[in-house]
Amino acid sequence: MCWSLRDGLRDSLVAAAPYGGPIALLREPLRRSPSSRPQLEIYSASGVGIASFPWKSGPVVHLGWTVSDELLCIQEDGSVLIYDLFGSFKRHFSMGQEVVQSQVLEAKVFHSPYGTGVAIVTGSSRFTLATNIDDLKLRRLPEVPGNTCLLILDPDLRFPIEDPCVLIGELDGVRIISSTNQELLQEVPLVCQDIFKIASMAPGALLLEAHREYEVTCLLACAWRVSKCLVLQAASFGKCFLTDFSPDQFVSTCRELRVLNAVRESSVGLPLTHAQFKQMTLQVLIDRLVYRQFYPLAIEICRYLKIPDYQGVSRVLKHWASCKVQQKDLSDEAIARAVCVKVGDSPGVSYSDIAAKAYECGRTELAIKLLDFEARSGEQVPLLLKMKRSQLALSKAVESGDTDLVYTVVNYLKNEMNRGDFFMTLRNQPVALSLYRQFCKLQEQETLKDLYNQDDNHQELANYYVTASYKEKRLESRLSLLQSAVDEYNKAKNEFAAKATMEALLALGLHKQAEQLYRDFRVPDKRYWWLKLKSLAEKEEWEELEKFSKSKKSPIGYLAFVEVCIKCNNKYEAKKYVSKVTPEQKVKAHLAVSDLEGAADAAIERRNEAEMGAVLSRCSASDRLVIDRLNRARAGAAKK
Amino acid sequence: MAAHLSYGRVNLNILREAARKELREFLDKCAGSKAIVWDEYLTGPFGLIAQYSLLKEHEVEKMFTLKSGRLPSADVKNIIFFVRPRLELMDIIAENVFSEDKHHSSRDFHILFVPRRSMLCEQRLKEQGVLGSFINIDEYILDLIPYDGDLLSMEYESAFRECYLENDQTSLYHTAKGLMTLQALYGTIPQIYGKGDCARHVANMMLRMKREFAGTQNQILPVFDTLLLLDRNVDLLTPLATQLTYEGLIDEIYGINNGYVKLPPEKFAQKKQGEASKDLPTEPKKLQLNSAEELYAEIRDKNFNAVGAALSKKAKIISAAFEERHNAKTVGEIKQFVSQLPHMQAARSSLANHTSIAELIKDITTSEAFFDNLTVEQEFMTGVDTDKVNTYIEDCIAQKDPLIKILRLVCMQSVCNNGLKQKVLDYYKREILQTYGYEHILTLNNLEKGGLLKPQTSSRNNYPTIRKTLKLWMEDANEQNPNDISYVYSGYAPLSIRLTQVLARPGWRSIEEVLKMLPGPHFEERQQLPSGLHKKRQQGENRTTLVFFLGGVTYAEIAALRFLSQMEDSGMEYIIATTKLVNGTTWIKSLMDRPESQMT
Repeated sequence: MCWSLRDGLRDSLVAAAPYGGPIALLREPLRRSPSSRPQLEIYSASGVGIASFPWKSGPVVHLGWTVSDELLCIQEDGSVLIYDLFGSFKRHFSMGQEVVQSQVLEAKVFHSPYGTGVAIVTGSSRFTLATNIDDLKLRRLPEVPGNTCLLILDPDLRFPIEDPCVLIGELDGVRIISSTNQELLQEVPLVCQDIFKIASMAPGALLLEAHREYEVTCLLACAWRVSKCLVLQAASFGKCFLTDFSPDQFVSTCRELRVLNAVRESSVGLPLTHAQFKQMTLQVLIDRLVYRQFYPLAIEICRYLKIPDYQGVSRVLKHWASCKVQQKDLSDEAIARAVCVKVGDSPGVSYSDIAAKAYECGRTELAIKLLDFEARSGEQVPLLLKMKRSQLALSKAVESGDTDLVYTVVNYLKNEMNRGDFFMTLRNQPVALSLYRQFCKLQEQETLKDLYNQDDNHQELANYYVTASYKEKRLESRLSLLQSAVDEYNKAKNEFAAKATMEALLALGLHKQAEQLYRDFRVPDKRYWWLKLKSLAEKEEWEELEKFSKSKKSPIGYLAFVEVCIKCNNKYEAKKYVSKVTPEQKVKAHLAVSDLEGAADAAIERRNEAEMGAVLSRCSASDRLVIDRLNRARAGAAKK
Repeated sequence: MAAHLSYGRVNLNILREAARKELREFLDKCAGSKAIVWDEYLTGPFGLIAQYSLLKEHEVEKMFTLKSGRLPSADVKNIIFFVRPRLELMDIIAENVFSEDKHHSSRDFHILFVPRRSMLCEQRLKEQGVLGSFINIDEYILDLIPYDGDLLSMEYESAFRECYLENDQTSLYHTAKGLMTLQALYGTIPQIYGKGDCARHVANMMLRMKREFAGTQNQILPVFDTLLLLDRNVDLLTPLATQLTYEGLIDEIYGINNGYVKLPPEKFAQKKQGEASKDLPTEPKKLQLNSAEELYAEIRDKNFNAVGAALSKKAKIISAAFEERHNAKTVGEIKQFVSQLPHMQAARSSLANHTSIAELIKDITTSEAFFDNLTVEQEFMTGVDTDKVNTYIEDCIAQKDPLIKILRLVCMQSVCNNGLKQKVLDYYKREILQTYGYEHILTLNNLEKGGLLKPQTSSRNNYPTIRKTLKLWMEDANEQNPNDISYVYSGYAPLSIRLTQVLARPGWRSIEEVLKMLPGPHFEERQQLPSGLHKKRQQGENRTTLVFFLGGVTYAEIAALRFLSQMEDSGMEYIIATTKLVNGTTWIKSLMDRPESQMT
């Protein structure tokens, strides 16, 4: 043991955690004089001092360790104080009010699948039990009569001990800690007996013997570790003769043993057996190293055992960084840089978690610096909002592209800020502004107007008024909204829209008949002709139509007349206009009135092959004569 | 199992299976019998993932459409709302929950947001006082829905409008997320190319998301070699043009929704023997269209003018196959014939359906109106008189043809002229407002904002340069046996697909000048692959490119890409993804604003 205890373990409360856990030592726990307080000391399993401080609280009845290396100090009055490995106070809880009176007689800390529990027995012989201190539920057990004592003795086992010492039950043996030594008392496993028993004929022993013969120089040192090497060498030797034996197991065992050797080093002080290691799992071992702040060793082990970064190196780095941000003597700058250099972009290390830790420790600036390294903008936002850096939160949300996140921040800002500031903030973030506009379009029309006003966006404002005018039921309001639209279109220098809206406004204000007049008056010639043509035909005012066709030269031509008449099923009227059609449209016109001969004549006259083809395609077998004529004409044209 | 999804180069069934698994997991979270209340918009896309049978297996006993008022009674333990995260839907849900009789029933409520949950919506439910009534509030991340063996769509209708009119990039976030999911299943895509602002934004988000996952390296061998992200506004022209492929025309005329089309029933009357076909069906005929149907896969991408020949060839093959029965002499031969019978009968009914559809379409494509419209479109695309008021458009307005048709043409003229002279533009606008109503001023403003309609700002019209450099017009397009993508529009080669084609060979460096004329940046990014995942390409093995159209893609464009995939010497296979399958009509419609007059 590395420690040198002046008074040995006499008069001390000692607690050592299983699995090579730390040792806590409280000297003279019941001393009450304020002038000389008892000292609480924490050592690693190899006796390296980790923490030491005077005990200022009440008398302690029992010490114990939780599964996550926290020290439980159970006081006489039933309160339980929890410290971490480095002696910093974490929290406390009580085993019940009535204990204050009756006092704790004895206490035990125990581990179960539910976590770490505490059991006490009070001066009034009552048992109280908490099965999991992280989810505290006190259970009172019925009174136990008398002072029953349970003793289990193994009559065969005798082990002489001279010093006062502490025993810690381990999975596969008993750890015996005295003021000078630490020993592991273990029954020799069956497999080992087989190998090392004198004159053993077990296969393992023979293999060892064979190997010994093979390599005579090997020492016969019986030290536990050395013999292990020996066995391994033998195994390695023997393995060569087995063809279908997978070397994986051999290799992984070797690696694990190397790791165990490393953590057994007295500077680390985690004396674990292989069985314990297997039981506690590598994950937990790494956690233990991390609790003890052996970061480099933990990382080396992760790499050596090739654990995926996610479960290994990254986890260690995360702990390291959370610890690093608490170092008060370093500047924000220095810490941020150090964290960035070490963590880089290791997978699974969340900068926002580290930043949250920094913020928890009151280092907001550092937290912001750290958040800058966070790749997932989504993760940055909640913390930034918590730290009241709403502008930054907004820009990070925008950066992420996640519009729901942007809405989250916008909504937050809207409730936090006054309207003016809120609008100004949005103005600097066009994406957020657009999204908010979308929201307003659906939910808050009035706000939408204010937004456009603020931005002097006259075009959109005008559009807004137009939309609003259609929602309006009363003519007066509608007119005034359209007037606003006209004004805004003018301001937007959108002359066309301003004028069109003006016209709409006038039309709406005028009597319906006047509106028609007004429209007729304004429509371009061509459209006027179309309108009139269609409406007369629809009303079957054929005489009127004919008059109209002669009123002046039609700006839309006369094919339109033919087609419209046909559309209204009046072939007779349609035929009237065929002759007026321009030569280019003659064929079309004749075809429209199903006058194949006329069409053929026109096509032949124009010597237009495509048109002749068009006529032909409309002919049926009964149109023999026309077909012949057309074919002749085509042949003639072809000759030329 | 949706077989047609696994035919292609990339097995998209993996994606579908992943989506189904997630759905099942959610359903099992709500133990006991269930009723689903559907946001109606979602039923179509969900149909592509799971049929009712899957839901039934997980104790879904009833299905309702989400509507205000009281929920229909159903003796079930759970009521699950499947909804998009929209505020107006939250109000309806709140109403539903409130009107639930508190004393007589103890039904559990759940919400499944598709594709993502939203703070705003949950806030709204909270304000309405019903948030606490929900046992599960979850999200079902359905970004990219497998449509066909080579086609993925997000069915996000408003994407173009939101991105270009409202500066709301929610759809792009979903796109990036969807692409991350895709990469998780099909491996990291090593090369990313893009053109356009939205493309840039999506690529940035993807790279960022990848950094967030740093360390958890994707160990899947990459299926895609390249991702090409294209903004729809890089090529505004193509969707405006009338598609001339078979599938494109079906969509233009009847509209294909989530892989289904509804057709006028007259041509599909079942003629049973000995029965006069007096009872004509009145319900529209609903048909599913995808590559699972052999004949459809064969003709969907053909120019419509080549479909007739293909159909009659198929008819001959099928009747020849039926004739085989006369040659079947031995029992073995007859047995073999009978075993093929179901397949042959399916082929025959498929042939009958498509013959009917082709007849329906032919009636339209041979009409004068169709021809005239197409002529004007082609004039614009070839640059004839694009700077003057077009008389055909004028006439159409005067005759009050459908407004969308007018808007398509005017926008096309504007795009082909790099903007219209102020005078021309104002003339069209005035005509439209006076004919169709003043309220359309909002739509016109939208079209201008989206760049589809604009005043000419510089005297230089760069469209001819773009047309010539990219060979957008091919005089001698071969519709029957195409040798170039221009066959899909009978002469016009879609700009978007030319960009894709040039990227594959000889590369964009050859068209730097043109790229600069098109809006938005073009870029290239590389994503590092873990060592060991670099593909060792077999001799003659094709590369695979995922082309993602941000803001919509047409069936004709898809046909052009399929054509490129099939070209022997292209060396490239294309998988297509998009925010939404569109055509000129649906696209323009999504950009329209129609305030309903409240005047009484």
